[in-house]
Amino acid sequence: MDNHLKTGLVLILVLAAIVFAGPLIAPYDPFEVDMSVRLQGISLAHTMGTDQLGRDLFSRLIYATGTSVKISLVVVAASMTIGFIFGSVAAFLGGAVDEFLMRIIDVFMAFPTKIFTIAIAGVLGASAFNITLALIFTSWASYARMVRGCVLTAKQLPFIDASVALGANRHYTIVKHVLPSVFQPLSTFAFQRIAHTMMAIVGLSFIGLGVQPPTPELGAMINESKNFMTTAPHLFIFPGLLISYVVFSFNILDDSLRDYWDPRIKSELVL
Amino acid sequence: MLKYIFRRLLYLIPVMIITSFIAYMLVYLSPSSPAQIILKARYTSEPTQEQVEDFNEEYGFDKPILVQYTTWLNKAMHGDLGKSLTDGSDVWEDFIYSFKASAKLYFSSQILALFIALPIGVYSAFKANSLFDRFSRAYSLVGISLPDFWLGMILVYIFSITLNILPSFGYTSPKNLILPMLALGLSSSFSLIRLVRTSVLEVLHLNYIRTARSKGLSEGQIMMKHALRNAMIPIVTVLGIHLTHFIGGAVAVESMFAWPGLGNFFAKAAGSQDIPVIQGFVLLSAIFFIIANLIIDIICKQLDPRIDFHNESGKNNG
Amino acid sequence: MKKEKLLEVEQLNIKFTTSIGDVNVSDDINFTLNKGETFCIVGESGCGKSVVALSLTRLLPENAVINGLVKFEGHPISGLDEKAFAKIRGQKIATIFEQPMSCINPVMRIGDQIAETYRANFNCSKKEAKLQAIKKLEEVKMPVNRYNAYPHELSGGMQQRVMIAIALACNPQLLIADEPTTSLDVTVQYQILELLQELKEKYHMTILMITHDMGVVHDMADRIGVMYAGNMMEISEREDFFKKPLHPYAVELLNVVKDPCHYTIPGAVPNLMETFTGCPFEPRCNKKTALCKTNKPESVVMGERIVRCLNVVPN
Repeated sequence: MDNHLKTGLVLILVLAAIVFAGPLIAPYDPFEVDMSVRLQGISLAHTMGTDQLGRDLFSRLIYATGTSVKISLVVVAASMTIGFIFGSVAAFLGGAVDEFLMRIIDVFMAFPTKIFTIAIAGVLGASAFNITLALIFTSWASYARMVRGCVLTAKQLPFIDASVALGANRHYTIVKHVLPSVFQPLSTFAFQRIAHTMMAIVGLSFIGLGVQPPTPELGAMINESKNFMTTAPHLFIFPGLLISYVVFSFNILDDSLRDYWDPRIKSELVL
Repeated sequence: MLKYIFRRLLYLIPVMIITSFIAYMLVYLSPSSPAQIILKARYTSEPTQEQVEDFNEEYGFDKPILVQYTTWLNKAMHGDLGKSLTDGSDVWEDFIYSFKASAKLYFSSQILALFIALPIGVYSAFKANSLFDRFSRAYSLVGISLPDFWLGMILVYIFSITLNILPSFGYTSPKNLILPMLALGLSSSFSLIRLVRTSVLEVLHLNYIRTARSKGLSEGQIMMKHALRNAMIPIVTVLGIHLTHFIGGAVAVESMFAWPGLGNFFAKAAGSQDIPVIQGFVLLSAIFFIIANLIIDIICKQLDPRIDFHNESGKNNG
Repeated sequence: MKKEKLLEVEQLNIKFTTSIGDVNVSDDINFTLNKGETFCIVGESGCGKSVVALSLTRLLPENAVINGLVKFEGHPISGLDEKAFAKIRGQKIATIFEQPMSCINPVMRIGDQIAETYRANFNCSKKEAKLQAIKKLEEVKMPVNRYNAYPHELSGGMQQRVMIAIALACNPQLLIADEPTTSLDVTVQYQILELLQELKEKYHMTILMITHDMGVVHDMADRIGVMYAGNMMEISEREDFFKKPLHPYAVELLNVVKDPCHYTIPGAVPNLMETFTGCPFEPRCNKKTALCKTNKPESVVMGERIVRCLNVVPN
């Protein structure tokens, strides 16, 4: 195991601790307003200072990271499931069903994703739940398309025909051999999308269309901090650093996993 | 070639009909009816039952959905997308205005990104695993993890608040462009560096590079005439996709710098549930997106003679 | 008549450094090429013959470590710097590869690729290079109107013809042909070999041909080198080789050719990551003695022939 992979795993483990054990770590209630200590800088009592309402920034950040990461995970898991069902049904049944499902996917892919997400979030009304819905709605199509491609490729592999020729049941063969070959690319793809989705969520919350205050969320917190940039820069610097930390952990793990699964050694030995 | 373009354009018709239908139907996703939303915006209080009925009759909302839709589509085809509910401005004109603003910001920032990423990425691939390569990989890996709007805030903090040499918002003077362009350009350059590096590296391992070397070409000639030429195919494709993302892709940066671009304008409309603007913008940006994808495909065909239009069923990738 | 030497290879050692260890693909290889002859290196896949050929013009990946002396026309070229070496590569020593499809640039017109070779080595105008390219297309019996074609528009045989035209653009003295017919149809193979033979005679070229096909060897070779696991086991004139191969491995190779349907050499090519204390062919050899496992055979010169086997005694 190389250093990249180790770093990635450690970063993700720390992140998991923040996300799932956050309430245990946070020293203050993230919603507790105390106007007497508003907009304070770093101090012993408040490690990362306080915000415009005197809430402890460190505690809020821990909760906020949880919110952002959990939404990303839900969006990715849901889109992956829908995409998997759509894509594999299209590829397995083929013919008119495939054609019809592909046209639906095409229409979804024909929209500029961000505009579509914003539009849906806008008409539904800005909230954490609606932003999750909007993101699932606009992202499942690419998963479906990917799964369909993988299944179609795998269906054509010579060994499928070979085992059918040997007397195996075609459907059984496909389910047993083709589906597993979809999982690795699908999970790699989904993994990449986590970082991407995270960026989308904080971006949407930043422009006020995502998670609404007072719920702590990283993008929304940066949005709230805009008015205090001059006096309290820590209010936007710390949440931004946390976003970068989360996205970086997923990116570095994604990078090293790809190297791990597709080792360079193979290409070195081809003479 | 012309046949292909014609077929693609023909294929656009059903896509546009469905797209426009979805754009129109977006309104019905909302928990409240158009009348409620519009009247609430107009009178700033919950409308009475009577007001709603009057309104529905006046604007045709009492008719079947299909009739409403065809009326809207018919008007849209004549360039009339209605008026904004918040300030009464013409949706079509708003789109053009903000489109121009977005294009200005986005094109300049992508050119900046290309100027940063091409030399770094190519050199990195050429000297793979060297100190420079390791550094540029780490740099771009950290870079792609920074949200673009946050990068913008850091720039504002440094150049506007601390040094006070550049404006943090505004649109009128060329100076206004610098910070948002830097934020977007830098932010795009990180992923572009990675793309250029992998594309070039992949090509460098291919057999025809070995052939080029066996022909007695210099490393520079190999790089320029064989490696880069082939590596440009994926780079141009992705760059093209990036460019189409300027509708909406830069929304957070535009909002941060109060840049009157498409994303910013659209986000405001969406936030205040300005229905005609939402419908119009979704329709126009989808059309733009589809046409832009067609243009990218044609450019790719120019770059890569192996792409055969006749065996392709005119699909576009978003 | 004393034969004039074109290329001399002495004590050539090549290894690849990889993250799981070193791979030795060439172990103290010696051979010479005489002017105007065709020298074939044969052996099973994975014995290092292509690596030896590519190392001569430094076309190996960067993780290859090459040691040894290579002399071209009597001058050592193994120590030259890249700039000086580039003058030899392409202009005096050209290479053609297997799988022509992947070896020509897919996005460049074939004529331009031929002209490019000429222009890279001789200072000339674009027009002159184009004329030379057209001449070469004619020589490899390609219709001249395919000058503007892209590689993917051509058949495998045509692609290999283009590859040959690219290689011969500068009329090189030495042509290294690395499995030039392996990926082609049998009928096309024959045409390509015939073309190579014709061009060789026309330009008095020397050819170093890498192949695992004994039929090709029989048709083309003047002299033959048999490689096994990075070692040169035997070098012989064609007549001698086919009449009476000396090395047990060469004997086995010919046995396979005589009865391709039923006869196979028992065992498999060894993993080149291990180091051999004895003869690398020992595990598969049917003439092995106890000594073969512990003592590494040296090359023994027997008149015109060179053999590397403990059990072949010079008479």
